[in-house]
Amino acid sequence: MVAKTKEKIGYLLTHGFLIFTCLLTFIPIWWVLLTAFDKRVSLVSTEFMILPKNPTFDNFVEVLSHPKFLMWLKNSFIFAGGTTLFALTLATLSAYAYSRFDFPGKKAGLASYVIYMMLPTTAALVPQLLIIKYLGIKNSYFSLILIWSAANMAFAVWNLKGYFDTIPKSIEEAAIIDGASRFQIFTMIMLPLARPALAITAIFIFTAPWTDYATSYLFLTDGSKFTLAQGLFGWAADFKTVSWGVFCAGSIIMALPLTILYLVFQKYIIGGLTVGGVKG
Amino acid sequence: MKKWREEVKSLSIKILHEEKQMPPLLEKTSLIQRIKKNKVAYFYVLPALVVVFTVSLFPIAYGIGLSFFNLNLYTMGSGRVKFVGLKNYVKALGSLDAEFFAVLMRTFIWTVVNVFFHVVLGLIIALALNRPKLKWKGIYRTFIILPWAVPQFVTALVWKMMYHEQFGFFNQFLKLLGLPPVQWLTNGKIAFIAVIIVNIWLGFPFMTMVATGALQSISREYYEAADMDGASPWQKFRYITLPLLKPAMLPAAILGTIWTFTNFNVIYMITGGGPAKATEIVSTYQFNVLTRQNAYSMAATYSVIVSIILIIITLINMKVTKALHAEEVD
Repeated sequence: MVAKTKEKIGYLLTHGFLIFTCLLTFIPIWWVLLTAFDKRVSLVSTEFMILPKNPTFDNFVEVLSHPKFLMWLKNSFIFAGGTTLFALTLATLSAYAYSRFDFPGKKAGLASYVIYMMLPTTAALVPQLLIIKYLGIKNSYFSLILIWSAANMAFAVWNLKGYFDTIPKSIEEAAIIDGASRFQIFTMIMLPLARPALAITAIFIFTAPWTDYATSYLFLTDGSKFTLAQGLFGWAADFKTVSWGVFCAGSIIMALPLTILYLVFQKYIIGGLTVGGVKG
Repeated sequence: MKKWREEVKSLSIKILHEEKQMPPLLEKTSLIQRIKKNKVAYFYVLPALVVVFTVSLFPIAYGIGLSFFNLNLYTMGSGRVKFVGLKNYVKALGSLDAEFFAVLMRTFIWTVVNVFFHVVLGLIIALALNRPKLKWKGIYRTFIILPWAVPQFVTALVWKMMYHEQFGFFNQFLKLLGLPPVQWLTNGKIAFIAVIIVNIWLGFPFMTMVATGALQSISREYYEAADMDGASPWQKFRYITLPLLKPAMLPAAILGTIWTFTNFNVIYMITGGGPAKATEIVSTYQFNVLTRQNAYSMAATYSVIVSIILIIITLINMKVTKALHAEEVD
């Protein structure tokens, strides 16, 4: 009897602890939602609230009809989407070859990716800035897509190669005997089989330009090319013209796609990260 | 097409099994022959390599070279750029008073404190979540993983607003309780603690997930055997749980160390390195030196120093994971 009550108290405490932790953890998220859905007369409020006083979608409407916000949204999509497509294409091709062929220079190539991954992300920033200034291609979509693609290439190649390595070679050998070309094998067999890895890698690559501030700040001086990150940062700093409600609504729009993706794919992502880490 | 794919899949499982039993094929060919034979491979790998080399690796090499010169906005304009050898490095690390040195030390403190709390909190929560027959696990998990799932950029800005002295959530809550407001971001020491709190909030979910995965793979049998031997909960934790958690937690902790050390967004978004450089860590310091002072060579120097530190950490990581694998084999 004593043992059973002890167990019950144990469970109560555990639930209590977890509920407490969840509440604390949720506070910032709660605040964003609260502020975004609240209609305010002034830009900021000195009142303390738990639930919105005047629930409304107004802030979202204001954000989505704000021409600048839409422009930032468009730019972020171009940068993030462009980088994902470009980097993923190049990385998949490379990963396939590193996984399936043994050729002179293979080890050197892989090693240079490993070395690159060991360096901080800002290692190339200063010289890149100087070079781009020199070449005068500062505010172009393509140059930034190149920079972000290069930054994520090593991770993508390693991740995909690791996955390709787990697919048995024999399928392709059977296809070769049947007369299929290497490229056909690549596109019709390998890629479909590697879909999970492609999805996870794509999510990672997409995250970088979508949420990056430093690189966009350094390389974009043309306001029409600014990203969501730059735009929202400006809004956050300046509550004299942009209300916090609007900022929060904008933040939610910026964060929502990625949040949903990360929630849905969490097991794979974390699995991929730790396995990759172990493989070194 | 679909049927063919399914046939291929089942065939692959069968062949994979057989492949393991086939002997390897040995062939000796010259270098040129091997290059010719694998011509196709080069087409596949070159595009990515070209991009990475020109866009990243070449600039990095250029950056290393830059760190030995005295390039900044002034010397560039007046044509007085010259080779200065290790002067920049001496300037950065030479004396204990050197600003960069202080920033570097702060970065270490930032990293150690954060990772410690990440791992400890992550572990405690994972242990709580792992209790058998616990209801509402899924709901708890979803809440707990939110700081990780929402992009760091957004949450950093949100925390910045909550820390606002007059209109921020925290001070308004304190006002409600009749307590004085806290200078979250305007007092140097408090600001440092404030950003650490944010980073802990951001980082513990990852550790919780890793720990949960690891805990779930520990067989119940070990605990049952220990129960039969009359082991206390502490003993069970110390001799079963902890050792079996190591292979997963250690690499995760090292990954977390690298991420925390190089973290830029959190501090930059919230304090920008201030007030009065009180929260500068290496990543933000370098960025500020670059953008505010246009001191290109110094920024490059900092990059190199950080790179060396990270390479050391990564090498430690590799050694640790190799050692863990060796242990596992036993």
